[in-house]
Amino acid sequence: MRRSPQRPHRRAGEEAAAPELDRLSALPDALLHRIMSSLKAWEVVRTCVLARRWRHLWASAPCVDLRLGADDDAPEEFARFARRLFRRRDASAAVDTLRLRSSDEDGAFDEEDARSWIRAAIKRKAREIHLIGHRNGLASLEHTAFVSRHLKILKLSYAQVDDNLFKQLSSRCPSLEEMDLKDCLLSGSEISASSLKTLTMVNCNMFWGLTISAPNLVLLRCITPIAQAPSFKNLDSVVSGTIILDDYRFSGDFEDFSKDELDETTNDDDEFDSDDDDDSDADTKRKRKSGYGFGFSQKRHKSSGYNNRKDYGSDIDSDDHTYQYSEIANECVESGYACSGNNSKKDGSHQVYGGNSGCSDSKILGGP
Amino acid sequence: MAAPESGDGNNGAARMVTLISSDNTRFEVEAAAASLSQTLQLTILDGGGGGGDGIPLPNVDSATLSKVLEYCIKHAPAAANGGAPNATAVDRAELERFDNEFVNIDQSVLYSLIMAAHNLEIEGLQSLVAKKVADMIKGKSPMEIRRTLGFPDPTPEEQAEMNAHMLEYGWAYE
Repeated sequence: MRRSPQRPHRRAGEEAAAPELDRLSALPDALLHRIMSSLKAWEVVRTCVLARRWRHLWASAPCVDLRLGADDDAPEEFARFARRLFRRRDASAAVDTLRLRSSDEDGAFDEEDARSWIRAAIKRKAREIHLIGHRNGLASLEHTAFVSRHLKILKLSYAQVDDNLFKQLSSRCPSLEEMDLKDCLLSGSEISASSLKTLTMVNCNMFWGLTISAPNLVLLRCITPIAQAPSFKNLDSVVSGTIILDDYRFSGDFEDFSKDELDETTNDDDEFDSDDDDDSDADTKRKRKSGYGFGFSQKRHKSSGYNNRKDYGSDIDSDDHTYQYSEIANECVESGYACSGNNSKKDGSHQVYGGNSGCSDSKILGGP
Repeated sequence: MAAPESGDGNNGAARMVTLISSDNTRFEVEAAAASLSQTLQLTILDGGGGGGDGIPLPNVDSATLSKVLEYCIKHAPAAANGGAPNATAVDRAELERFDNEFVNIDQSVLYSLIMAAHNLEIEGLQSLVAKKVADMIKGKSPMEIRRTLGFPDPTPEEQAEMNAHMLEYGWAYE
């Protein structure tokens, strides 16, 4: 049944001697590993019994997914299983991606277990780590673990990120390019990372105020921050930015703060204000295009300091850069953020932007 | 991103390219669709595949290529817009529905697709087919997996090896 076109791609490695390879097993390791990347860690290990061809594949699988779901048929002694997994893996094979939860609600493993797996993955050159905490128990990360030349992508959900971690990431993870924070409590005061190229923050609480300083950031998405909006500096490289604010999520304190003391906070952003007149037009156009064409006060828009960076001007309307916008909007909906506009009924006093269309509670201030 | 094609579209008809399968069947397809393949994109950007030339694909037979192109044509509009700026939930649901249908196919075609998507570097298709095979593995016993994936029945020797391995890897089961 095997067709000739596939033959040249067969690895001439260890299994070439087995004549009766089924078609799937005849695929190169990289493709079988790719399939394994959609499996949980225990399912990956179990493939070792399938056939000789699969015996050792699990040990070098690039993705270790330890996220334990309620319906999963996982090993009972889960923590012990994970320890063994790391110990018995092929030591020379990098753990490219680690996905895990911070602890198990049913007690199969605790935070210390999860931390040890993160350490193990970082030791094995992890390029990407996804950690999910719990709605009722934010993950707290052990910042000292994050020393890595390899870590490129960090995705956190329901986690607390403090200054120690932010500092550690910016000083000890020189390859970190992408940070994706969802439903996180950002108790640090500054994200300052020169390697960072993509930063996504969705539903993150920045109660204590957050300054983002990332001179090489290309893509910025800040969706419905809670309590306060962040302030920005050194965003000279940003090509594409989406900021959606929901004033219903801002604390009353912030309202007062923003009205009274805003001048101070805008200083950092003055450099962006200098020649953004073109942006205003583009901004309007873009909003119409994407269906969020409600008006908001241009004055407020400018004084808030979260307005368009001049960097957006040149290619602001190119299709290349508009897609993230809808992705974000969709993501917001998916993550339970409803663009219903009903907050105006609940609390009219928060309508400082004067928005009134179908999506009046979200304000798009940055470019798509 | 398949953005480079946007310029061509302004002159009316979209630019077409010809792809030639390993068994010499010619497929004419919009450049934007073929450009979902990272491998082809560069060639097409250089102006290849147009006119009577065609781009030979010696590793992909016609049955597989037509399937690959079915995927590309469906996904091209969204990709050309860099991920569909105006994609509504309906559009997304429609693509999802298409994808689910698309991989509901004979195993031999599926495995050919894995290889083709890999050779042509079509990221979305690679993920889609890999995930489909992973779904075929999930929640099954080793013997069930073997049957589902189309492995030949194990010889008694192999069966003994499997059993021995199950014991050795008990830590991944119990």
